[in-house]
Amino acid sequence: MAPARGEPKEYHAILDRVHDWSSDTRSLFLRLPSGISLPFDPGQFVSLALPVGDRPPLVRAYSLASSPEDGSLLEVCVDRVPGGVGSGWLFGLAPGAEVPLTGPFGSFKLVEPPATPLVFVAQGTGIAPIRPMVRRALASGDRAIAVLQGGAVASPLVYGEELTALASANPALQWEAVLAPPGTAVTDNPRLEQVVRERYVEADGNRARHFWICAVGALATRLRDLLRSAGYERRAVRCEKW
Amino acid sequence: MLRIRILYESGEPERTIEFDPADAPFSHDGEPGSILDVLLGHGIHLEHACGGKCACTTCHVILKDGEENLSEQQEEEADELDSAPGLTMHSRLGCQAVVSGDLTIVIPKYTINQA
Repeated sequence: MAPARGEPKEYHAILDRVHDWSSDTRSLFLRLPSGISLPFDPGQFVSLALPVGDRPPLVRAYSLASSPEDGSLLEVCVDRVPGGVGSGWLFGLAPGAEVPLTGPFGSFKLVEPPATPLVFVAQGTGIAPIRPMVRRALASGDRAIAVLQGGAVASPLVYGEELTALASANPALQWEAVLAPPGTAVTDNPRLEQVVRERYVEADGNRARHFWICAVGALATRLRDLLRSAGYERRAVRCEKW
Repeated sequence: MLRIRILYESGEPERTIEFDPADAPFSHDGEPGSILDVLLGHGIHLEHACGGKCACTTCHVILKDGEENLSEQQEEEADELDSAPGLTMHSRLGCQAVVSGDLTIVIPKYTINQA
């Protein structure tokens, strides 16, 4: 029997295939056993207990970039961390490898989109949990949806082509790439902060928008604080800091 | 040396550990010197599905004594705790609460992971 939505369980997935976005960013497609599904909400993550480190297991979380409707094939997007034993182990997996995982977890999610304009802000692979949220939002009505996808000039935008196509097919969806100035650290993007400030703080007094922000470290916190201090309600500014 | 007394809502026998905070980090998860870091480094299991990154509530603990001996709660911890099952006025996330004095904590019977 399938577990109730939101109740975490252990699953034994098999690595089906990989897709390399760049030399350091890879999607892993994990197949659950036949007839098994993992009920989750867009934005949630799974937890992997990796058999590495000086005191294994090393527990690491990976956002689900696939949608609940995708069935038994889960997608996670992994950045290779320099010297990182966890990401190094995951990059070394070959198709057919078993990947035990537990999930779903996380309150950074979109279940029933509010009837207000929605704004998604992501930097780098922070777009992974945003992708199924955007799909869910598009399937849930005609509200305005904006996606600001931050990235680096030298790297392809993960899911950038797919989101471009979605925006072309859906007038309610605006997608925009916001590339960091050359030389910026991969986890930072001052241009993204500037665009958010200009568009959602300085341009008007509308504070009814709802935001979902996903980025690494201080950038996520700064974006969250920028919006909350500008008058958006705390719970309307959801933030996942990696 | 600091002391953490650990009580289990499930009825498991209580544990007490002593440690020198200057030796932190004790493990590779959670803020160095946090409840999670100290417990993991002393062989005591505490769930931490997100790897101790303040992205879930599975390391939720309830302070029975010594709450003032923890680092101040930051906004991301408060945001996450909002969704913790069994939230109390004395709830903290083990991965974020850094220990500076003696504590008694209760590990709830039900976390999101074990409900």
